[in-house]
Amino acid sequence: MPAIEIKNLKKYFGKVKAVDGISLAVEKGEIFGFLGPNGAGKTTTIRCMMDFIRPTEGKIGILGFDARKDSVELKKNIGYLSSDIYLYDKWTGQEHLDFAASLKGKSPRLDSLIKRLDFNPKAKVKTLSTGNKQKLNIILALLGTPDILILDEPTRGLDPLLQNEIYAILQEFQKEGKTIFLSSHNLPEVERICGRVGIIRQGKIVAVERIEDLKNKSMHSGRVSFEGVFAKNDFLKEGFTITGQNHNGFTFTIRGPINPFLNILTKYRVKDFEIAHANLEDIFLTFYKE
Amino acid sequence: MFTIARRALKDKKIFLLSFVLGGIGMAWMYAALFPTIGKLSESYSEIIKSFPEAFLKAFGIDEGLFTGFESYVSTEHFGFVWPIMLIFLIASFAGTAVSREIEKGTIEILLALPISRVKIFFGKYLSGIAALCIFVVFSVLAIIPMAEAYNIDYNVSHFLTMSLLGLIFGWAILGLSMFFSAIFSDKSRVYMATGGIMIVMYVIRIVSILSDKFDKLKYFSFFHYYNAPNALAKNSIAPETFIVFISIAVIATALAAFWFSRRDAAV
Repeated sequence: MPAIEIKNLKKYFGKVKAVDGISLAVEKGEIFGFLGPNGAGKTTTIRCMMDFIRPTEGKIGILGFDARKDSVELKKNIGYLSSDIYLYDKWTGQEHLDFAASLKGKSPRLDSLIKRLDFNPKAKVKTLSTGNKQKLNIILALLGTPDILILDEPTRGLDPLLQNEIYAILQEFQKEGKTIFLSSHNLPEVERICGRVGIIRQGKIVAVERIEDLKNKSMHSGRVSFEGVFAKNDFLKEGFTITGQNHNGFTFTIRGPINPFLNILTKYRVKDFEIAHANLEDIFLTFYKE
Repeated sequence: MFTIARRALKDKKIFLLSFVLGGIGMAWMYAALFPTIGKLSESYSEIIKSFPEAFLKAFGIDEGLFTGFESYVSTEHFGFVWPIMLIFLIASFAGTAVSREIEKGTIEILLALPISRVKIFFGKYLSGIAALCIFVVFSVLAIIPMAEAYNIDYNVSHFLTMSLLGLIFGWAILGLSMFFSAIFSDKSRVYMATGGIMIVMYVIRIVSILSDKFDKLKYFSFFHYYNAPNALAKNSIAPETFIVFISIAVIATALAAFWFSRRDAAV
């Protein structure tokens, strides 16, 4: 049984189809990345998972429970981090922690988390920097003993050192057999810690793949410059994309085998040529262009 | 639920305290003025007799206004200033209860915890009830020691009746404003809706008093049922006052809880 199972989830706000029939499953013990640009439907999906908003259609099952009907029971086992920082300005960090702990239970790792993240719980939230507020958000998400973490852009506002600390904490969670569902814009972050990734675009899932499979997709990018004139149209074949151009050459991406491209190139006097496996970002951007 | 109620009350303790102190301060002022005003009651009564009858009815003033302490405070304090303070206090508690949490996004902190929406709602609601009780008890009953201090004759039971009237009046307003809080995602709309309805009801009452043609309209105004002179001077609350205020409080509360448990609680 998957830890998270979303079936045909739809959420419409009037005529706006924020989420339009997405389905995906996340296995227990997995770190699943949920990627997409702003407005793609990531936060709406997560809010439906958390029962903050109600789906227009579809079902969400988490740990075998219905995300809506069993919401209270489920939240004993879910650690949640919101996409924006929502905290009570007049409370201190400690007041937030005490309040949440009184309803969810204190985390056995609370003290070590505060120390690891170098967080001062005595300060009032309104005096904290964005990074420190985010630290508090993360500590709140890890309160209790959650089996699943649902994190909406967890490293937003954190410096690289703290980002690394968060990655380490999440990987420790995973080693304990716990499941993590995180949304992100940050591709290197997803590439580094996630096992699989779901890509959402305009409210629809366009791909769910293992990170390794995504990276191994036969996709190359490069640039070429010529000693004479060249006909751009020769290179406008299926699988080839010219991503930029100057007077004596262009940059390109190739999906699929590279031989057809090289065959065309042999017709010209090439001055310079460079080609490499595309990084995840290029692969990701390719999905969005479609 | 009680954790949320305690926390909501704690967050507004300074605000509540300022209203309670304001209420006590007003009670002190009226008690301090009464001995002097009492001595001049005959002159005041003569002046009052010269006012148009409709004006006196509209503002609940009668000729015996300055003859008894209860009549005096019912008109001067509990007829206008005190209910306004109560409405402000209750609307503020209701506005911050749900709609402000949604507006600021902090509702996500509450909804991410293992507690049902109904309990979140009633936790907030309880804090409003507690604020109402604290304000009514302190601001109404504070008059008793003040009256003692200035050697004024008074009836304790009349002030207890006034407290009861204040409680059911405040409860009805709390129910209404919590309903608006459950519907709207912006606290200013809650204030506008609650304040707007109260102003319309006040105008309705004045119009119904001034014009026989619109007499029946009075039944649509809280201020017809909120009869402070009756409670304080005659120690009585009409049965329909209980029926109307309690019915509105219960129905509006139930609708608000139902709405909040079903709505999208994030913007």
